[in-house]
Amino acid sequence: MEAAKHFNMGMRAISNKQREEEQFAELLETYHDRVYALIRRIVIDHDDAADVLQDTFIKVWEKRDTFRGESNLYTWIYKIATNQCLEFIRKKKRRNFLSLDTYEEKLASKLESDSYFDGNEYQRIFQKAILTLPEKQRIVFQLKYFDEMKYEEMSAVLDTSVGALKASYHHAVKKIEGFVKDQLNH
Amino acid sequence: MKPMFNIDDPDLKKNPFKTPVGFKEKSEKEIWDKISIEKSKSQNKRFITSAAAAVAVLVGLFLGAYQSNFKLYFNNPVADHSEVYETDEVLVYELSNLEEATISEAINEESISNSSALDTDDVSEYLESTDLSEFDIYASL
Repeated sequence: MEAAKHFNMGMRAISNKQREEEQFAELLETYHDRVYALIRRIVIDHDDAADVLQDTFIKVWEKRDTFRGESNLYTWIYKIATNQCLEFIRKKKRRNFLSLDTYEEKLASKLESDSYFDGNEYQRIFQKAILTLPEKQRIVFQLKYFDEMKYEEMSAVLDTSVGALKASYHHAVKKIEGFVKDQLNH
Repeated sequence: MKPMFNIDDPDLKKNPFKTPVGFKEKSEKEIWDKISIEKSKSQNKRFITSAAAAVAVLVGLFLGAYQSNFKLYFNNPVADHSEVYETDEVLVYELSNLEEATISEAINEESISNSSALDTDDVSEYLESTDLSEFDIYASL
């Protein structure tokens, strides 16, 4: 009787584990490209983006028990991804502090030679303009402009009030417009 | 002609970053590999923690049992303690005898020497004050 109970418990644990793995495989399949695109737009370099993407999904796996379903699954994943990006950028900046060029300047010059960049000159200038923004404002702009995320969802992702996000996006657009116009007039 | 900048230009919203061919499959495989490494790491950690906990429990049980036996033995009036006390008692007895003998010997010696010293002093003082000889005194006694 006892042995049968233990056997059933063991089988349930295995099937739970299998179900968890199946769910994660589904999640990975659904969000892989979207999350990669977000990370890639923030960190620019493909290899860096691949590393951050791996760290993001490993974090998602490790924290799967903490997801309570109160927020949308994709805002939860985006939150982890943006935090991983910010952490990655901070690490890069710390390592880069002795360099004459800032981390953003290096990324901008990388855009010039990036073989995986598929846009025209106009798009390249636009991407460079985005790189002039402070990192958190850059993420706000990316989420609103490219992912068309609602401010309420962004608020959950970035732990910032809707009002502050609106103001941040407005400032970001102004800065980008100024930068691009300046570049086009040269 | 230079393009006029318009933030709502649909071209700008297109993703200009290409993804290398086969990246998704490679990336997904690497993620699963890392997850399985993490899983085995956490399993090892769990095993080490449970083994350490089991050892701690065993040591605790052993110490508890050892201590309770010890207490039981010494707090039990029916228990025969003679074996335990045997060597200690003999030693204490011998020590106390030795001490007692030495002390009483020392006291005797001191009292004898003190009494003789007192006697001699008293007699000589008396003799000086009375001008009597020692013999006279002893004769008068």
